[in-house]
Amino acid sequence: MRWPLPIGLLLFYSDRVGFLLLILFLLSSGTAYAQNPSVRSPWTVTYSDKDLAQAGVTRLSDLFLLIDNSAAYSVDGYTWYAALGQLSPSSENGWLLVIDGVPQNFGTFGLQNINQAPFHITDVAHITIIRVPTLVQGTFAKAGTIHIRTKNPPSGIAFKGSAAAGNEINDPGPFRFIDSTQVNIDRVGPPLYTALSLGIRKGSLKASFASDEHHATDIMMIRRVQKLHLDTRRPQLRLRAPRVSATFKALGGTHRFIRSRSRLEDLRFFEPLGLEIPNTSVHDHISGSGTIGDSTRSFSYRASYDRVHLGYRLSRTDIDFDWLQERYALHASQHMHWGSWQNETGITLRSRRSHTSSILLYDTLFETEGYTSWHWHASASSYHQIAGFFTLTNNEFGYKALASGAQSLSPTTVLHYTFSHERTAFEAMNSLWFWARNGYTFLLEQGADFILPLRFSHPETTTLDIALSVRPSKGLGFTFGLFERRFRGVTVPQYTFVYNPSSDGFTPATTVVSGLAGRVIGYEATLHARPFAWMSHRLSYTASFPSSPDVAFVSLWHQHPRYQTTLTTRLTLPSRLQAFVRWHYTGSNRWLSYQSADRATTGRFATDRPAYLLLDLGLHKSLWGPRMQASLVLRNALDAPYRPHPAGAALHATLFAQVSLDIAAVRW
Amino acid sequence: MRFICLLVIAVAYSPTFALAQSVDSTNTDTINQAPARPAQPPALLSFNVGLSSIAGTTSNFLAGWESGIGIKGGGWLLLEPIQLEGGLELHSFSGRLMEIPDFSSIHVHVGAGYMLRFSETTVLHLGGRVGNFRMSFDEDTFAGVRRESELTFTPYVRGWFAISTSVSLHAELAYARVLTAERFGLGFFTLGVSYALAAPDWALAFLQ
Repeated sequence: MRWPLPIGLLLFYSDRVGFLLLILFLLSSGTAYAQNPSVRSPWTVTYSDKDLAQAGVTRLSDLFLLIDNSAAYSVDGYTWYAALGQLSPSSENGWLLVIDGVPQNFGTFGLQNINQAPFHITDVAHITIIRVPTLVQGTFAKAGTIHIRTKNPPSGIAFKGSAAAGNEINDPGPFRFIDSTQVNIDRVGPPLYTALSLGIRKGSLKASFASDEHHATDIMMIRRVQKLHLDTRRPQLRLRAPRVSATFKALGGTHRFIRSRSRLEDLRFFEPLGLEIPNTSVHDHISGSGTIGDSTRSFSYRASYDRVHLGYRLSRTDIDFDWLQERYALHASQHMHWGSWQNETGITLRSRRSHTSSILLYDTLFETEGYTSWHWHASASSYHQIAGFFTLTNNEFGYKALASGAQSLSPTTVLHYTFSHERTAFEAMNSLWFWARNGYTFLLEQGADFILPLRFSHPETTTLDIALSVRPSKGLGFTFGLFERRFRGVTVPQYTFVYNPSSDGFTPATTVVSGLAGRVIGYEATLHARPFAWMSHRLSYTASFPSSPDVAFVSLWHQHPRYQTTLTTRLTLPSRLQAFVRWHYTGSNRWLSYQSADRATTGRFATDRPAYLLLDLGLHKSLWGPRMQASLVLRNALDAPYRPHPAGAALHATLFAQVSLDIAAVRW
Repeated sequence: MRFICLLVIAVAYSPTFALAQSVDSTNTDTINQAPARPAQPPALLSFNVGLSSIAGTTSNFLAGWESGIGIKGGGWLLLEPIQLEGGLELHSFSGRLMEIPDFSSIHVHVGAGYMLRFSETTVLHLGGRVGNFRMSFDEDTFAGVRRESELTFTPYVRGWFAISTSVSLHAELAYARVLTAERFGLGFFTLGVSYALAAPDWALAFLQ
C-alpha cells in the first residue's frame, strides 16, 4: 500500500504546502454549532438548489466535481464519464439516473451523457447522489444513483429564465496573426433555459425549453474534428430540449405526467473507431407515475416509454450509427408501514426493442424483475434494510441482494454498512458488444478491427461498504470508511490505439475480453468542520487499490486516479452573498491503451497522466428578493493544464457567469 | 493570475475578514449595551466617463501594436467602505507592421473595491475587476478573422476628488492582464469625471 496522500502532496507541490497547512490549521480552529449525530448514510449526499448555485454548478455534469470518489473524466469537456464509488469496472456511466421519480437513460451502448437531460441545473430543486448500491424507485442501482427532483411550479402563473456563459482562457488573441498555429478556444456554452408554469391547488403544469452549446475546438481534438466538420462555424455540440410536465393530486396521492425530447448534435469520441463521430442523439420520453394511498399502505405505479435514436449528423462523412432503441417499462409496487417496519414489494417489466438496417438475430430484450424489501427502524438513530430481487432477461435468470443500515454505537458514533451481491445476464448490460454479436454491423461497415469472445460471461459483483461516523462536538464531524468490490465475469474492450497521421486520430485494434475477475479495495475519510457560523469546511480523501490476476482488469482500473482529495470551504457573507473555495487533488492515472500512440507522437498522447491540483472559486448573490440569482465561478483558477484523458481536451481556467430569474407573474 | 487568486484566498480565510463578522453579531447582552454604530454614509450611485490612455504594455504586445487615447465609462455603487462597479472601455490599436491588422477593443468588466477615505473630498479606491477583452480586427487585412475575446483580471487604484456634492474628478491606474495563450498586459491611465446621486431605494432593494 502506498504512502497516503499528504506526503505525496508535500513532495510534489512543495510551493503550495504553506496554503495546505494554513487550511488544515483553520480546520482545527474550534467549533460552534450544534449538529445532531445523523443516521443518514455517509454515501448519500443531497444538494438543494441553493447548494448547487453556491457551489458553482452551471451544468449537470459539474455535479461530478462535487462527488467524492467519482473518477470523472471527459474527452471533449461536455460528455463526462464517471464511476461513482468505484462501482463499475470502467467509467461507463452505469449509475442510475432518476428524474422526478422515473429512471431514465439517455445513453446508448452504456455511455450516458447527463448533460442531455431536458432541463437546466437552475430548475433543480434538489439532487441526491448515492455512491453505493441501493434500491431506488423499485430499481436496483448497482453502480450508484443520481436522483434529480425538478422544482414544483409555484402557485399561480410563473416564468423562469436562466443563462450562463463561460470564457475559457488561452485563446490566441491578437497573436494568432503572428503564430497561425494557435487555436481558438473561446467560450463555453451558453446554456439557456426558459420555463412557464401554472400552479393550482390540485396540480400544476410546466413547459420548458433548454438549450446548450459546446465548442469542440481544443488543440488536441481540432485537427481530428475539422476533417469531419462541414459547417463554416467552429465545430460545436448543440443541445435543444423541450419538456412538459403535469402533476395532479387524486386518490390520496400525487400523479405526474412527463413528455420530453432531448436532441444533441454531438461529436462523440467513439473508441472502437478512434475518433470523433458526428451524430445526432435524440431521446424522446413519455412517462406517467404516481402513488395512491396513505402513510400505512400505498401503491406506486410507473409507465414509461423512451425512444433513443443515434443517427446521422451533417458532416464530411456519411457515418451513421443507424441505431434506434425503444424502451418500455411498467412498474408497480406496494408499500406497507406498520410500527417500526416497512415493506416494499413490487415488479417491473422492461422491454428494449432495437431497430437498425442490420439484420439482428433477435431485436428485443425482455426483462422481468420482482423484488421485496424490508426496512426496520430500530430506533431514532438505527435502521436496517434487506432486499432481494430476481430477474429474468430473455430466459436468463439473475438475482440481486442488498443489505444496508446504520447502528448507533454511542450518542456521537454511528456505524453504517451496505452489502450487495448481483448476478445478471450479460444481455441486461445492453452493450455495444452484445449487439455486435447479435448482428449489428456498424463496426464492420466502418472497417473497425475488433475481436469478440466466444461467449459473454454473466457479470457478478459483490460490494461491501462500512463507515464509522463520529460527531465528537458541535460543528465537527468525521467519517472513516472502507470499501471492497469484487467483480467476476467482467466483459471489457481492450483497445490498442495506433496513431493515424492522416486523420490525426487513431486506428484502434479492439479485443473484447470476457470472464475477467478482480477486486478493488479502498478507504475514504471525510472531515466536516464549522468553526464560525459563516464558514464551513469539508475535507474528503479517498484511495483505491485494484488487484487481479487479469492484466486487462488492472489496466482498466489504472485509468481511475488512485488518490483523490477535495477541500471545500463555504462562506456566508452579508447581503446574501456566498462564496466558496474548492481545492481538488486528483492523483495520476494511466491509459495503457495509448502506449503505441504515445511512442509514435513522442508524448503528445501521453499514457501517464499526471496528478493535478485544481482550484475553483465562486461567488453567488441573491438579488431582487428571491427572484434573481447571479453566480460568478472561476474554475481551475490556477490554470493547471488539466487533461485527464490522453486524447482529450485540456480544461483550462474558465470563468462562468450565470443568472437565473424566477418571476411569479400572477399569484393566487 | 495566481497572485490574484492567492490574494482572494488570503482574504477569504483571514480571521479578521471584516465584512463577515457582521453576520455573526448574536450579542443579546442587555446589561452591557454594545456601543452604537457610527452613522453609515449614504449609498451613492455614480456615473463616470473618462479618457484613457495606455500607460504601458508588456513587450510582446508592444512589438505588434500601439494605441492612442480611448474612452472609459461606467457606474459605481458606493456602499462605503465597499464599492461595486461595472463599465466598459473602448480603445483602438494600430498594427506596427503591414502583416499585423489594426483592431478595436471593447473591455467590459465588473469589479469591487475598498474605499479608503482621507477626507470629506478625497478617497482612494483599491480594487479589482474581472472582464472580457473583446477585439475586432480589420477584416480587410485578414478576411474571415473578425473577432477574438479573452478573460481579463485588472487590479486598480483610483484617486477620487470631490469638487462639489455631486461632481468629482478621478484619476486611475489599472493593469489588465489578458489571459490569452501568450499572456499580455495593458496598463491604463484614466482621467475622468463622475456624477453621483443618492442610490435609489429600488436599486438597494434589488441588491439586498
